[in-house]
Amino acid sequence: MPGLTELQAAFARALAGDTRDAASWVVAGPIAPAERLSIYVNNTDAILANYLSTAFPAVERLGGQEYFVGLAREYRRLHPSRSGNLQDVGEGFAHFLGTQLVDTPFAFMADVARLEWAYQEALVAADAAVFDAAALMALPADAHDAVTFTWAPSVRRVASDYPIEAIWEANREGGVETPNLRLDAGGDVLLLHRTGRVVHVRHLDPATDAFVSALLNKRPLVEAVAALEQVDPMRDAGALLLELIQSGRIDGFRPNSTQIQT
Amino acid sequence: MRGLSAPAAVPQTLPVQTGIGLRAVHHDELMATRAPVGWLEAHSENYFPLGGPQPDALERLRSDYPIALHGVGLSLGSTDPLSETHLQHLERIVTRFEPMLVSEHLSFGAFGGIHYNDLLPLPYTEECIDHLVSRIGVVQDRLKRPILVENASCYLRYRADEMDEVDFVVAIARRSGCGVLLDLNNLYVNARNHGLDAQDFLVRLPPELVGEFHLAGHSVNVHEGQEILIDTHIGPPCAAVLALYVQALRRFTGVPTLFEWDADIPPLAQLVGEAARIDRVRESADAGAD
Repeated sequence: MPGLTELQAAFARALAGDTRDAASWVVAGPIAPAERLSIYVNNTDAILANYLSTAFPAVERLGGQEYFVGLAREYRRLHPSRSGNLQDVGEGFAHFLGTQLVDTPFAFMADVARLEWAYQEALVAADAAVFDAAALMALPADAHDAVTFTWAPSVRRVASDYPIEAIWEANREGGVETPNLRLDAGGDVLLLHRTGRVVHVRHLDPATDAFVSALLNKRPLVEAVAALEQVDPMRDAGALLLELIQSGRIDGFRPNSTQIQT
Repeated sequence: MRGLSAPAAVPQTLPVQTGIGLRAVHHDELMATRAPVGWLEAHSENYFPLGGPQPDALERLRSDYPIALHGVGLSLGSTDPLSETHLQHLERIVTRFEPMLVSEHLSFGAFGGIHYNDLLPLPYTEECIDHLVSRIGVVQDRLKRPILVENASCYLRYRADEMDEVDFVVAIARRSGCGVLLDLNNLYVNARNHGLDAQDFLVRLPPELVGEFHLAGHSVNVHEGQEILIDTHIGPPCAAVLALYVQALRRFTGVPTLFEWDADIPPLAQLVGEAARIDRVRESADAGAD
């Protein structure tokens, strides 16, 4: 008889489609061993598909349930779970979908999946720190240019050539449908973050995105302001920074990139 | 090997009134209404996130209800190393939420680094007992408390089995010092699927080991013309499972009961109604025993 490791290895092979060894070690009865093993194959497929369905409801609705279940099965085959926590399992799904749909009219669905995963990540991220405004104000004025900022753990930026926010809104549970939605209606740059229990999704115009992206890339404030003004010289960087801090998106700062965090 | 006395502590501090499995879809309504259920059991992994609605809800709910944590992903029976990340998360939420009970399953869910996120069947062998006792010891040491382990449902048995399920479960509990989460639906499913005697299991399970009951619904599938019961956790427990519950109540006293409904989850009111129905079954059994 096989030892525990050998038995589990055979069971794992059975779940991947090769039931020969495992079936020979299962008690035969009115239902054949391979048939009994198939129950676990079906269960594990269903568990993953159900989870992905909760994390990617818009992708499921766009593709249809049958297509989605097939996708989930293929995803499990190519990217098996590496975590006992099902909530980790969707991490590579958007990338996988991109490889499945590349050069097809449905490539936009991978970007919708990226948005849905960013939403899931924002939902479970740690809470933001409380921004220490007094410490920032205490810096001498000539030190402001070198300041870099830290972002709340829930902040995610998602950019797409497609209008993914409207597509997502129209296809997720409780979402709002946009009439006459066109895929060529222009792309979206979205910034997600969570306050309390609610995930907020904000559209970024090109100037704001230039500013936000520079700060997300840990560039000093002076460079972010330059990036903003390059796109829109009339924009008020101070007001934008204040809004990012007050909304809880930015939750800390470093006096400059070479000094120790306050 | 430890002696035959009761595990140092199968904590039995939860109320006798039936508890329900906590599902996210019911968080807000439970917080708003304080629905009349005895306690709540949360799937541990659902509360691993560092922030957001899930841990926030459990933090609030635990001021209104006693809480238990029930893990589905630790993979106690796997021959892979225990996941340090998983253990750290579990340790963190046990410290934070101070559950009355912490439980896991007698199953495996991973091999070779790949997780199947399912409760896969273990062989009833001495080697497997040794393995589980060692791993349960690690978990109990980390959590600084005894845990309960649940008898798992299964749809096949191994030719390697050296004993029956009850001897397997009892040996693990005796040697590790853990308690038993007796899932009466799983017991019934296994009895039906493998032609076993569920009552014999109850009679041979020492009362002092049992720290919690689970009740749930199952589905009936047909494979090759034969019925096989699948532990789907859909719907209320069937009459036969409730009959087993009544027998269990006579043998295991003061044990808290948890009703699970995990797929096609109904409105909270229906769940609460089913929990109340289980309470009436228990009260009738109590009255009959007087």
